[in-house]
Amino acid sequence: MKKNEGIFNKKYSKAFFIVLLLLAIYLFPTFFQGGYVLHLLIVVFTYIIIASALNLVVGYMGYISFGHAAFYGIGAYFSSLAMIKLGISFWLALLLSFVLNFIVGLALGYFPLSLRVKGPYFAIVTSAYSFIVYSILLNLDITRGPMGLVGIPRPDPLFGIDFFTREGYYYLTATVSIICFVIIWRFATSRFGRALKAIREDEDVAESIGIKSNYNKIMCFAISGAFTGVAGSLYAHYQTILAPDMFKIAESTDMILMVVVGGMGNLIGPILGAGVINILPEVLRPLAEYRQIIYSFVLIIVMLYYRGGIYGFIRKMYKKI
Amino acid sequence: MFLQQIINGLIIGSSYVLIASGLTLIFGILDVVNLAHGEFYMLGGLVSYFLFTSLGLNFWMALILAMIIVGILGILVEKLIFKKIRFEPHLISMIVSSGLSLFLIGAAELIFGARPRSFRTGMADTSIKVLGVNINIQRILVLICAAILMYILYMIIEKTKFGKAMRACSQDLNTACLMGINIDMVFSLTLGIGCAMAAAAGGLMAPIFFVNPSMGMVPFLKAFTVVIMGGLGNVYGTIAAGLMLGVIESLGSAYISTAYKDAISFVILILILLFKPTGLFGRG
Repeated sequence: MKKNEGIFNKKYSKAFFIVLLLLAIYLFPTFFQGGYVLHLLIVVFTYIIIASALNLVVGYMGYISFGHAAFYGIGAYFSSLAMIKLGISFWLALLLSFVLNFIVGLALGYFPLSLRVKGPYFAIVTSAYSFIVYSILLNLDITRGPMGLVGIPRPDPLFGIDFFTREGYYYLTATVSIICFVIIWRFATSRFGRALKAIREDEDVAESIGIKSNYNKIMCFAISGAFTGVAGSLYAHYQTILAPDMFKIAESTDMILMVVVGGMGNLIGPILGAGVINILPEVLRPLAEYRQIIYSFVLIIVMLYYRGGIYGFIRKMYKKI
Repeated sequence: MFLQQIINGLIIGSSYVLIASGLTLIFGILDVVNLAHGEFYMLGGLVSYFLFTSLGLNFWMALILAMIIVGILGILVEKLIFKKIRFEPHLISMIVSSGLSLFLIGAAELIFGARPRSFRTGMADTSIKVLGVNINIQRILVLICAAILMYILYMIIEKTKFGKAMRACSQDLNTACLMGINIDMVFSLTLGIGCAMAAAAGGLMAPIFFVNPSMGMVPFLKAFTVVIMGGLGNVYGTIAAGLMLGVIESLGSAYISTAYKDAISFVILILILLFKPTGLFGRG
């Protein structure tokens, strides 16, 4: 029947596209030998995790969080210190980073969210979190303050891949990123995701139809923080050095930028945003000192005129065609 | 020693009051969350520094001129940016104003350079002794000027026709429109006044600390704390809260620890938001 054929075609082409994408991602290093491009991609994949996670809070739940730099920093420092001081394996450290940041997210989110701290107040409270974590990282002995950590180890070889090379770490980052993305995708398209959207639209009405807003909000914040922490760990082990300066509030603002410019409330937007925000400075090398001005200007224009971000813009164009 | 800390606290507190009063006016009347408010404080400091050192204007002229310039900038910002997102949810104005904040910081870095400068006015070299406590002239001026400016603000709000319009807008916007009040003008001027107050704080504090493009970020968070403590839109509460926060911070940094001084304010902010979000003194 015609209807069946239609469904068959759609499913087939979707799977085909995904396989093509995966092939492109994994075969990329064998065709392009540029170390610099790989570096960029590693950074982009890391930020895809963060942007997607933050999108859950900003795009789906409708709350602005400037606190994700805190999770990023906690994740980075925790897994580094855990590997250096406790000698545990990379994979365990990564997992523990997820769990720790989840718990931190629960703790940090519990009070503001259950007491209905919203909108600007929530933004300020979360930026206070970023600031407090930054202060702690700067002043604690174990993190060596402004000097930071050096010699953060890479994971031991797995399946014959050497993670001490850029190529190897690229495969690692891409894989973890894809896994995280899929998990977030599953969350976003589930009942949980729809509950978040309902909370975003009107929290009281959502409550009245039986959505436990406190539970969902705190869960969302915690999950978002957990994934951001994992990204932080990935990043730390890539750079092998860390300094508290990477985790100031400005970092949180960059993350918000990625989500907003890429397109909030959908799954492709953050990917576009992460890509654009990280690749553009390289493309615009000659204009490097104008980076901040250009970015903030773009942010303002996007919010005033192109609310849906790059993704929204592309969709509009596509419809016109 | 204790008295010294209190006086220092009052001085810092009065700068918070200036910034916070602008913020609370803007939030109370325009219902806009202006995350860029700290940057107007910074611009006030930077512009008055520039006018003082490059053009050789005397400190007072530089300060007043800086206030006017930043005030006009505020009006422009309202007309070009905030007007387009009027009545939209707070999320939107937050994102836009954080973009504006980054833009202003970046622009300041380009024009003035990111390097902190010190603003020597010569007044910092004289001190007077009051009640056995040494006070620097430059510092006590902050307190005096803040008091004068707040008094002027009080006169504007309570005694002028424009102030009446402002109060009407904060009470009921629709009715204010029906009564023939020009909302555009009220909004623009309110943002202008708010920014001018912040600029004044920046200009007054600039000689005490260093002047650099990121100097507005931490004072902004403190001012926001003050706004919440005092009650949104409540200018009088803001005055009390600002002074209180300044003193608490000063005592805290002396008796607890200086490293975590700024964190004290944020802890207070979190506590207030959790337990008394309408502020210690209720809304305005």
